[in-house]
Amino acid sequence: MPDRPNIIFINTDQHTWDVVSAYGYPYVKTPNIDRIVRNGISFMRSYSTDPVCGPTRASWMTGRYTSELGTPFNGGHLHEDIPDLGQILNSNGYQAFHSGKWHVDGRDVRDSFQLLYIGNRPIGAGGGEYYDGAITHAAIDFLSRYDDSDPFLLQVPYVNPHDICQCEHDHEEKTIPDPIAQGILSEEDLPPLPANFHYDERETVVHKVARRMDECLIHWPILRKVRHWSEIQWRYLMWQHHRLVEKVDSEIGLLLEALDKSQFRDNTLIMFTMDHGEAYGQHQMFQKFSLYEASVRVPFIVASLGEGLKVPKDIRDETHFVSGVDLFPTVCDYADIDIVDGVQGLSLKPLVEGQNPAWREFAYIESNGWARSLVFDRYKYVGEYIPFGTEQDLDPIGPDPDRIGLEQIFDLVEDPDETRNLAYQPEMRDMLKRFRQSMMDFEGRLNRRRMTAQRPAAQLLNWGKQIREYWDAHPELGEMRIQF
Amino acid sequence: MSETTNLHWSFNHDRKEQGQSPDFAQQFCSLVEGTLATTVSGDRGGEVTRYTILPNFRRGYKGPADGDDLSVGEVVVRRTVEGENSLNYSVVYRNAASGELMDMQFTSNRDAFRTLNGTWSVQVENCAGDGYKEFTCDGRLEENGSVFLTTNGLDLHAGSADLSAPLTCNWTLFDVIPALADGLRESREAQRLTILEDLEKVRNNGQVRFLESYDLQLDSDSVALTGYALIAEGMTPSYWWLDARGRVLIAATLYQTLILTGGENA
Repeated sequence: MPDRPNIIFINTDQHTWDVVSAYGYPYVKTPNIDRIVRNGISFMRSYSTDPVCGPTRASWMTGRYTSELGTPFNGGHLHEDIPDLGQILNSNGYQAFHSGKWHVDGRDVRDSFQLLYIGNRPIGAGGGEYYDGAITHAAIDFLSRYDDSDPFLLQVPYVNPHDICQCEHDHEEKTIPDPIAQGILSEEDLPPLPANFHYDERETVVHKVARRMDECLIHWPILRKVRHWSEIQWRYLMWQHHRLVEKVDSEIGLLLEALDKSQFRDNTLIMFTMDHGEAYGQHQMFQKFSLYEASVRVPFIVASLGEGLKVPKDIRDETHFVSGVDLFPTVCDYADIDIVDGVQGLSLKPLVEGQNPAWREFAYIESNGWARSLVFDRYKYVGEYIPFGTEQDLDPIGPDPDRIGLEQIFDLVEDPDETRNLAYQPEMRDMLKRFRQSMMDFEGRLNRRRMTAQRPAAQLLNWGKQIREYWDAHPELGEMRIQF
Repeated sequence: MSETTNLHWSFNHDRKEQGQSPDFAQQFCSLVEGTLATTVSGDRGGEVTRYTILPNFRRGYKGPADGDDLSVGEVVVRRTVEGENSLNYSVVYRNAASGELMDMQFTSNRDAFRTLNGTWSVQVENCAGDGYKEFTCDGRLEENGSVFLTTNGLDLHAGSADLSAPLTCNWTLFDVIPALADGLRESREAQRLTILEDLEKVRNNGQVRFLESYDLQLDSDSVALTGYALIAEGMTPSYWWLDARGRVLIAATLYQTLILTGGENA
């Protein structure tokens, strides 16, 4: 099958969804990501399956949701019997290569891909400043030398702008003057504070325990400092994030140039996305680990620099919900490989080619083990399950209508910044009921499995215990739960 | 300065509260004291300077490959006078985390900005042990500012440099900032620069300016430093600290702190 296309899968890491010049964002320059946008179709209503590096990547590689995989957080363990994209391609006439960050917890990249580069001291969470240039070198070297007759998948996961985490961690044990005090920037140089810096505090208990409270589960040493940040410090965080986006954009530029000048230009698909976003002050959050749009929304682009493939140019699809689980079946569809049982995603190929297939009604997202979101055309539902605080928590929860905790509903048309939680308005009860039912129906079709790996199981139990203790210590929250 | 040590915030990556090991502050001070105890040359033309790289990583960094040495590599900058108006640079950057050893060869004008002229080359070896072993490219700048890299027969457009500001390689900043230092400190104005990072990536709208003066307290000594900050598109701020002899003693980016640790007259 010589006409099967080559595929290059490029992703950035912790890249806020709209921080792309081509999408109209004025505070960054991304000429190279713009080039991908101009040469393809951008699915704008695309979402991470679980907005953290490891979980997202496990979903990309398997086409399944993280509660099915044993990877509900960084440090999980992908169930060993679940096949991944590299394995499937390498055994079906493709050659699958990897250059960059892997972070599929529990699986060695060498068991799945032909490894071009993953660092001498393998890439962990961050370090784009060290690694991204080398990732590009390895990918360009590959494109300039590959001479096999088999089609290839080249996976190029960059690290930046994930280095923004270092900017945040830098504050943990020291005080850094803001850039105006430093004298290196003026206020006019900084982007404005996000419109949703101030937010509705009626959030889920999972979110409060994981991200808001004293000694929270995730990055408390950062939180205790940023609580005291000035607005200028928040805006400086945005400014730094945008410089890191530009930094990785220039790497992508070299990679695209190599593809453009290579023999593979006309028969190579580019798939581009981000693993999750960076909140940089939206809802006074930082990093990811939340279900707000800044954390979970990630455009997915299918493009081609040449004219040999049926890919539309410079199109935005604002209609179809796309998810991280769709990468796997989309690649398999283009590679003419049967999709294995258990895959939850949908192939984007019919949409790219202008067809009108039956499509999903919402995007489904998981977070921090117990939190969930369903993004519909107009409304967004956020909910949570109440942990048992016992060993029962090792079995991923849901569907279970009796254990639903606190909830949020946002009207993404009237309130795209998610600043007004409508879930507790009486007139929203019917809608809330329908959203819950959609979640129950959807989760009933997932193939969830017990967490068995020792270390992640211990973390899951610890988190479940702490979230449950918060519920027990705050009976007034139980009064807020809406019962039908 | 930091709450836990007297290191300046721009290069303090001490993480004692988080059980950091090896200890950044201890190794940093040891390296600086070692430099002060020797007669490491300045970094004017015609000389070789060596910088040891300490990683700024917090927890999550994989740590040194062996022992208690936190260093992840070094940078060696060699300058050779080429006629009346040019300098040949040879910069070797070795990073044990990435596994890359980059050898960058280029020529600059013999001006304060070390303005790039002619062509250049980059040779990279990778020791990570996987499929990628080496990368080589030759670079050139066209009159309109377009930067091209040629590798294995592919001619890549690497970006468009804004030539309304002096175009310099990031590795000449060890010489450029000392040359500009007095003027920057006195004027408190920014100097515009265009940076060609690693001779591969164009960083327009660069600005370098005076930051502040500061005394670094060591066990044995106190060192007066003057700091300068560099920003540009595609770059988070980096900080450059000169000692009283006008040498760049410390340079800190987001992920690495470079400390002058050696050199000799060429």
